[in-house]
Amino acid sequence: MTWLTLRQHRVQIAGMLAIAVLLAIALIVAAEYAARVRAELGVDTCVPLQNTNINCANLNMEWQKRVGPLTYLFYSLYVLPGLAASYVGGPLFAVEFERGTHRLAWTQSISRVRWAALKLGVVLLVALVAGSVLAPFGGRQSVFFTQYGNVPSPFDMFEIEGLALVSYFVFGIAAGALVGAWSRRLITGMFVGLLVFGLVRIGVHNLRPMYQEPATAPFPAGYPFEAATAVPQDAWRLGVKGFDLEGRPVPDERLNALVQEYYRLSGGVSTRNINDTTYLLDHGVIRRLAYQPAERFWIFQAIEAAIFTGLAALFALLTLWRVRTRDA
Amino acid sequence: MHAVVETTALTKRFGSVKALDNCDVELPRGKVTGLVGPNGAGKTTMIHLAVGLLRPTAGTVRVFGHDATRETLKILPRVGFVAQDRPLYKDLTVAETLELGRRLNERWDAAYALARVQRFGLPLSRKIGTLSSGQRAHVATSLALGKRPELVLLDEPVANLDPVARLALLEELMSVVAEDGLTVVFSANALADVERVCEHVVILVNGRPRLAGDTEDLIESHVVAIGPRTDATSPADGEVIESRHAERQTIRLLRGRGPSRVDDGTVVRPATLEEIVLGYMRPAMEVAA
Repeated sequence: MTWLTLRQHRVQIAGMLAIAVLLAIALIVAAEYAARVRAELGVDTCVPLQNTNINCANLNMEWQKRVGPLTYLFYSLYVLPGLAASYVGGPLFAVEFERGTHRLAWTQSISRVRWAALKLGVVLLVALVAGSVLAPFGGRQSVFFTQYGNVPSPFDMFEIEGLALVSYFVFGIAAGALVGAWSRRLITGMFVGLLVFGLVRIGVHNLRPMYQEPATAPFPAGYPFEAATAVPQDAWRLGVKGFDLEGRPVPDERLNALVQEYYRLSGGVSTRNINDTTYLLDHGVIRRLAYQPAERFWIFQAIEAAIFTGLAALFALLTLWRVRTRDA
Repeated sequence: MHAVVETTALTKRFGSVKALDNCDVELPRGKVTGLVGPNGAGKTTMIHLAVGLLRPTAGTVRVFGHDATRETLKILPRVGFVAQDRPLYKDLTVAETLELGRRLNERWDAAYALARVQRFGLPLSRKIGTLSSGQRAHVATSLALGKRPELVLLDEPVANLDPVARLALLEELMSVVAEDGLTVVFSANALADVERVCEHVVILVNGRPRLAGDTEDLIESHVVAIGPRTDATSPADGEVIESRHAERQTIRLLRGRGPSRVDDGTVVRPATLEEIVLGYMRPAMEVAA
């Protein structure tokens, strides 16, 4: 059965592996090249002129011009797991049902569940390998996230490297396979599979800031004019959060309503002693800057990967259950 | 001798449609059985139930004494099945298709399957997708027979084949049956094929068996009586299965030896299998319509 799966899906399997290897090489080369050009131009060592940093900003633009489309290469890492869902996962079972070949496979001397498990297992394994080939190189793309005078956070590359990236590939296959097995239609498997994949990705993306209670730093007086904050440069910034005087979180809606109220009442005029911060304080609300420290990156990766791997396992089991119980 | 396939109160519903309705059928061992009936009669459903592709809504199918739904894996190694339209993997070559048979079946006679494929001059390196439908039919049956099955279930095996390929496939199948003492069940709505090769016939109409019996017995026990047009009820010596009226004539299919009185010009002759099958099928279809 392993042989049959490899033979049947050899184009997709070879395609996934070849794309992974070629893209990995391209990513390494692109990042190396971009970093070298950047160093040669001296973008990050640029000393601004007396009253403007336009000279350095121009250097940065010159760098972007020279590295050109390489800047966008890493975007393919966002797209590939979805393509795997659509082009490899979606057709996996749907094509068999659509062409009636499941009736051929299911009447040889092996059980349907074994057939489906081996088929799905082989392709999941290939997706795992393809993802793993790419996983180490997403982080190297940090050069492309480096604006002038700015340290990128590892969280900028969160979705294009490491365990998370691998788990997206695995989940993509499982999502496509399930939708294809359920609908028995190739087109549905490909498009709805991609849709399910995308929706789950968006859902989990929105949960991610809450994997751990965010750290907070004091809100700087006179913000945003006084930009220096206690938030580490490489942290994942989650924005402004309100807290009451006992340190309990205040809903964003209330915080925003108070700030708007202040600006309506004050007409935008603030002094050192009367401003939005003092107004909020009068209402028992303190603003703080929330963030996830860079050190939490790998914990977050593990949590993300656990979620997607868990969902992939669930989807795989549902696929097997569907294959086992349904009429042919 | 036990029946190879035995259904008891077998019912299969697809939504509100009853494909099979309380069927009790026995298919005898060592014979070629034709499962005959109009489209939608439940032939494919019955075959699919027998190989575990479908689950019954009610009742049971037993094959070799095993429950086809719960003990499918005990049945499958002993059954060669070719589904309607003979599904095969189009991207595989002929050789790879045989390899599939070898890898997915513990009982597999590689030499036999290869010899069959070669006998039909099928190039091993050709992809299935490039073969004619007749050639594909040979590959599909070789895949089914390579298991060296005791029972062969074929769903419309000769449909969409040209007359030459049709005859070649049927004759080939029959020679296999004769050599190995296989039980063959095939569904067909082409009556000529059934007449040519079947030793046993089951007629299904609207999900129910109308008639089942050995071909010889059926032919011996039915006559066609063609006489002057009459609306009279059945003659004493036979049960009228079907009466059809032409302008001047009445043609009856009778079970029994036919009317003894033929002085009114009635001609009595043995019925052909086709006449018998149609004679049972048509009235049942009209009732349903």
